[in-house]
Amino acid sequence: MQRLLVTLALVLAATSAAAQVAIQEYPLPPRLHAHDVWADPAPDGPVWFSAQRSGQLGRLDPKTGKVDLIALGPNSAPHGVILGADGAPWLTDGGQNAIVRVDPRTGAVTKWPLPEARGYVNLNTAIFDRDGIHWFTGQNGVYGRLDPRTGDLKVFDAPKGRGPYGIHVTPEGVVYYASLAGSHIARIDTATGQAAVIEPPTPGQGARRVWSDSKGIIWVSEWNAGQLSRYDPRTGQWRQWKALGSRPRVYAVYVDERDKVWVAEWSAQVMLRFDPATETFETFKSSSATADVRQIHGRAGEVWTPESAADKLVVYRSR
Amino acid sequence: MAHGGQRIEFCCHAPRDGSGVEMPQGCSIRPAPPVTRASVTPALFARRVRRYFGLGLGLAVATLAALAAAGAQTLEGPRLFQRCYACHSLDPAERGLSGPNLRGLFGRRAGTLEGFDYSPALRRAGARGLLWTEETLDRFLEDPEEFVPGARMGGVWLRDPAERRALIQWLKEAAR
Repeated sequence: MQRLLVTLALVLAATSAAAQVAIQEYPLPPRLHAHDVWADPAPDGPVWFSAQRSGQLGRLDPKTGKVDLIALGPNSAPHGVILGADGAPWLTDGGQNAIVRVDPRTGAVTKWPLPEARGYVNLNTAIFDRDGIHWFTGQNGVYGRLDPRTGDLKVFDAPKGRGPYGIHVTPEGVVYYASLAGSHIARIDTATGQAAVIEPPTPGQGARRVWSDSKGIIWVSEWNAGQLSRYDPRTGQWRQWKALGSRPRVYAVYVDERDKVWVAEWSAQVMLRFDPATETFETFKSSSATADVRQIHGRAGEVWTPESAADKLVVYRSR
Repeated sequence: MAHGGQRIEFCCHAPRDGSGVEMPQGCSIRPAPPVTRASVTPALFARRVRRYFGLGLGLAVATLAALAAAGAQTLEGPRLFQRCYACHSLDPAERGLSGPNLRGLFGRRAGTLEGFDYSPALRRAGARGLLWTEETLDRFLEDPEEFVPGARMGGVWLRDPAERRALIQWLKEAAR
């Protein structure tokens, strides 16, 4: 089906003359509730997204705007989607309480259900480490690992109970996750599976997602506090920057290839780009009054956002 | 509803020792619910058994059936509440989660728990009069975005009516 490709070609004034960004919006079929997004690293490659409400994996071709949808199974409600080294999208499917892989060529769906004894763990987000181990979080108070080669799946109790949410890996292969309800981040020892809690300075800040930059600095979106924070594992030092507005809410964080930090802010429904060198935010807004951007991902020159409330994928292209 | 029928049957049982203890008000004049498969309550089943096998066995069956029904709900409620647990608490002291505290939920106007930062959609729904009752909660849990578009309770729903009933009945006690 041909989809209308809406190009706003908004070139927004930025604080520096060189920092211009073009916004392009891709409409999705209604009622998908696109939650997470993952852009294939190849220029013009597909952009995958989790259609949480419809229980599907979505694939957008940015060249044509065409959207393909693959059903994941009964009761599916996928939260996260990431791309594995095998080129396949992997989903953390809360509805099916399973890790799900979709073959990008055949569309075949493979599932790794969580142990029944664990009950419903509210699967959230995942990342692959450098050894190809799939690490995942469950908001009901767990994290875990799946070895796709053997199918070995282990679930660990999170050190402070419910909350494990976003998860990422540094270039050195160190895995961190954020605990929203627990208001902390944690570092996972990938050899033992043990998680060590690292407390941000702001009490009750609601650390929601984490992302590493190219140097292994950890950036954290703090939902309750409305802050972007930075943790340096080498020194243990923290810094925080509050988003603009009277009661900001910072949901997602992503670090682009230039080590600029993007966050999704919900109070004003805008995207913010933070420059660590100048410690300033730039503001970008799509045409959606309410976007509810829950995750961010990108590739060279492009930052992609799923607008869960507007049924769109929106790309911010830096020139 | 089978649950309501069950409650009527038990409260209307006359004392078996003939001591004349007063029955709860209204019990004697309530009509029995139509007998369908769903409304064959433990007590009604017991009466039928008693007719054939005598009083003692009937009592034993009624007790076991009631215990089984209560036990099923007791087990099913916490299992279904795992869907809610990441964002909601029943402990009134536990605030700061990404969903509002559920203690005192029934009868509360939507979007009005003090100190919680609701979505604009839920605040508007509350201002228009949405109260949380068994019925409204049933419709909300079936599809939150359909019932209150923009509610932002993404990814959680219970499509199975029996599961919604079990969760709501359990919550009525647990959230009290």
